[in-house]
Amino acid sequence: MTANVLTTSIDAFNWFVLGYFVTLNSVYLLVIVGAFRVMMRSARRADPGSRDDIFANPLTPPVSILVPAFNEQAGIVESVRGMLALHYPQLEVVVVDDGSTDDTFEVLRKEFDLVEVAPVIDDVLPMRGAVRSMHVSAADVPLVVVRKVNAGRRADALNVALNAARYPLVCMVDADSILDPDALLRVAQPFVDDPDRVVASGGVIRAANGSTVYRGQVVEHRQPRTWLERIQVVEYLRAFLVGRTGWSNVGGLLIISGAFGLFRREVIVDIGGLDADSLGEDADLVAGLHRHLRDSRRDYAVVFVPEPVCWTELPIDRRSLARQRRRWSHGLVQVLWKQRRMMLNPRYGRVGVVVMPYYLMFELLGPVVELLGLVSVVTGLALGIVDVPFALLLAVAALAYGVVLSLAAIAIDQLTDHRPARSRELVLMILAAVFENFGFRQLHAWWRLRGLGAGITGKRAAWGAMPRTGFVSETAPPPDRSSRTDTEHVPIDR
Amino acid sequence: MTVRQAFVLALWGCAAGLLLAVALTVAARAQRGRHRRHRERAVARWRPVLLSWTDDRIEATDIPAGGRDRHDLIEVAVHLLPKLRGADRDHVVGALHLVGMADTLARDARSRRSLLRLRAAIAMDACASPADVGALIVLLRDGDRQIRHVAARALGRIGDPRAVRPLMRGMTDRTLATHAVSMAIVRIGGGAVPALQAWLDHEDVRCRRTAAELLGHLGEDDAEAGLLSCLRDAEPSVRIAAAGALGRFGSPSSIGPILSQLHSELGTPTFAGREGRLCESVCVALVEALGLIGDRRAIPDLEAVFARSTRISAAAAEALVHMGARRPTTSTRGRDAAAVGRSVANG
Repeated sequence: MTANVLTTSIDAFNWFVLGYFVTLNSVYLLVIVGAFRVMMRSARRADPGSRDDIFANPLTPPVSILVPAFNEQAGIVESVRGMLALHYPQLEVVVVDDGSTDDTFEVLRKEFDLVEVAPVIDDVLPMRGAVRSMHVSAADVPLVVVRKVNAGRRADALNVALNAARYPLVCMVDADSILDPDALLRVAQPFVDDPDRVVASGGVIRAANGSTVYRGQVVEHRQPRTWLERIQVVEYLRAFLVGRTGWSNVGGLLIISGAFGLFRREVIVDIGGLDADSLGEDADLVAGLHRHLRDSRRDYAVVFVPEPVCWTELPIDRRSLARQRRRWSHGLVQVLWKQRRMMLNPRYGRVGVVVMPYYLMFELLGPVVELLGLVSVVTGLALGIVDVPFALLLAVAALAYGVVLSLAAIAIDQLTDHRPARSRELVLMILAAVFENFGFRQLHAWWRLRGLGAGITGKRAAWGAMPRTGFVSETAPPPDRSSRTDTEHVPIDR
Repeated sequence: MTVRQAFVLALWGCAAGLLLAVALTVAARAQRGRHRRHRERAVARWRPVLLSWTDDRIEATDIPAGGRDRHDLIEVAVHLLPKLRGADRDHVVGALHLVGMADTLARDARSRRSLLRLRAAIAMDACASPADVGALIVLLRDGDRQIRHVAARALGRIGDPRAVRPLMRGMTDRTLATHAVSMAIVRIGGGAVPALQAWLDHEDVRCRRTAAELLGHLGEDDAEAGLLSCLRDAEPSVRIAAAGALGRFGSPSSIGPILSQLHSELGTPTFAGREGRLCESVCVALVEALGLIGDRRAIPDLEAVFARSTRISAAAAEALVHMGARRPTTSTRGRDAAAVGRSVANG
């Protein structure tokens, strides 16, 4: 009797797992097809004059670039220099030194000739860490540096930056991000095209590991040296380029990465700024915008521009990657719980009815199904409950189908990116898409499961040190390999 | 269907998907390579021809033979023309018309394929020839948003005042975005002023706001009276735009109405909440306008607004520094008004 129940349970669960993976991958296939259409259309209809027009237009809204920085002495000068050199008619850079314990502020002070001024900071958004001082550049650059007491959250530093910002559009970037010269102009285009509706616009994030940086710009893009990083490159292509383009295409963009997103300041103020308790403050912000704007019955748009490029550095070792992924998963639990009222609620349109259930079922609970499915199949095989063809069928539905999706993302990138990879690097990417499924994927599921557990139990996440290689600079000596504390954004996506 | 059959079917499906994805990747690269080589050949063939036309010299061999040649020539010209100036540019545009490009573009602009119409509009924008005004005005009503915007840009570049009314109509009926119309009108310049002045009384807030902003950029003195009346507009964004425009005008005669409006706005009990913040933004715009005008009669009023809010104080400090009524408290050598203003605010 017990054996029968066990057999039936394992059998039923395995069929559920099979259906789950077929559904998950099929939904993602649809997203990829939508992204393919958008990106091909965009590539075919390139208009060389449009960016110059935005640059020359006197009504193009000025932008405040907000840069929260914690122990970023190694790369902050290069990043700020790159941001100040962005091709945009009017901008300011607001760096918030979030209680750094290294020389972040000193290197900025020396490089940009900072002088202390009386702090002029709005108090429209809550600030936990007290502002210690405010500095402006005595050189002819629009740079403001605010020093504050560390409150242990990137969101708090961003709220201070939002209070200090003086322009109607704010661009949130990571201190170690490097933007392409035209990135801001392109991500601002939706605001210019449709100023009454667009409230947020996101850009493509790419991995900079292995690339060469010259004067704050990525001049040569190459594949990183380790398989761990290469696999992440493929993940970023699939999630940040193709995935978000596809979701944006159906009006269901739930995440704009904290590493590079442009927002209308007034709507962020309307929702009370970023939630300093959230580990996924970027997802929380966009979900909060959807909720607020739907509640107030405003016609709005949150869009993704598949062109602009922000380069960011990926974790290089398993430990820091594990910590990052646990935090993403933990942050997703917080966001979905906080915005649970939107779940399956038609009042919130596609975001409520399609996107949030997708994130709950496939992003949050994905690792549970994946790991339990693995255990169930292996147990079933050992006990003779599951036959080999079924196990193979499951492997095909979960793994081979996943490889097909990754390869499709690579194909779209090769078809549309103006910097196609060299043949050797393309082969490396294809191999990474295959290798990802054997070992890394299961490990990743385990990290996400732990993040999910931490989120459910309400455990406070640690913000530890994260070793980075830095960017390979053409003018500088080999990059510093010292540890920096990871205060990265929390993008959550496949 | 048995599990075994399902497995075989799924395996075949995935294998086919894998092959398709790899084939697509390879095909994508091959296609890009073909396109690049074709473009290089087109540039090698037509760029010297276009450059020779800067001397107003056309050879019989320069005339494109077929449709593909014509489109190659247009594509190369679209990238070359923005780099040419003055007579060189005029000669090349004239030569393009002589070899029949105008007819090709006009035909493409009527094509049923939106990609062809878009490319025609882009080429007309690069040429900026007055002969294309009629076709471009028609394209302003195209069903494709991108084509309408390129046509608006091209009309702005040509600078023909005949385009003003169709452009403004496009904004009124929301078929054209504000930025497309505004940039075109700024390029058209003085010819658009009467229509913009009429728009200051338009029922649509977007139109009133855009008209005020554009009049500030065009700098026509006749517009001052209309802008002053906009300071009392019910919509805060229009008041902000009007204040900004009057600041750019820099006319001391507008000081009185600006101060009067500033006192009225400062009468708002609180700057909290959405409405309060908008009101605060209007105050900031008015104070900034006073700073730009630079008339010292406004100094006592600016000194008096310091206690109201951080943003207004900062703006007032900037304005006073701009007028020379205050000095920065630090030894900053910065020329950024914001930096200087921040250094003296609250002090």
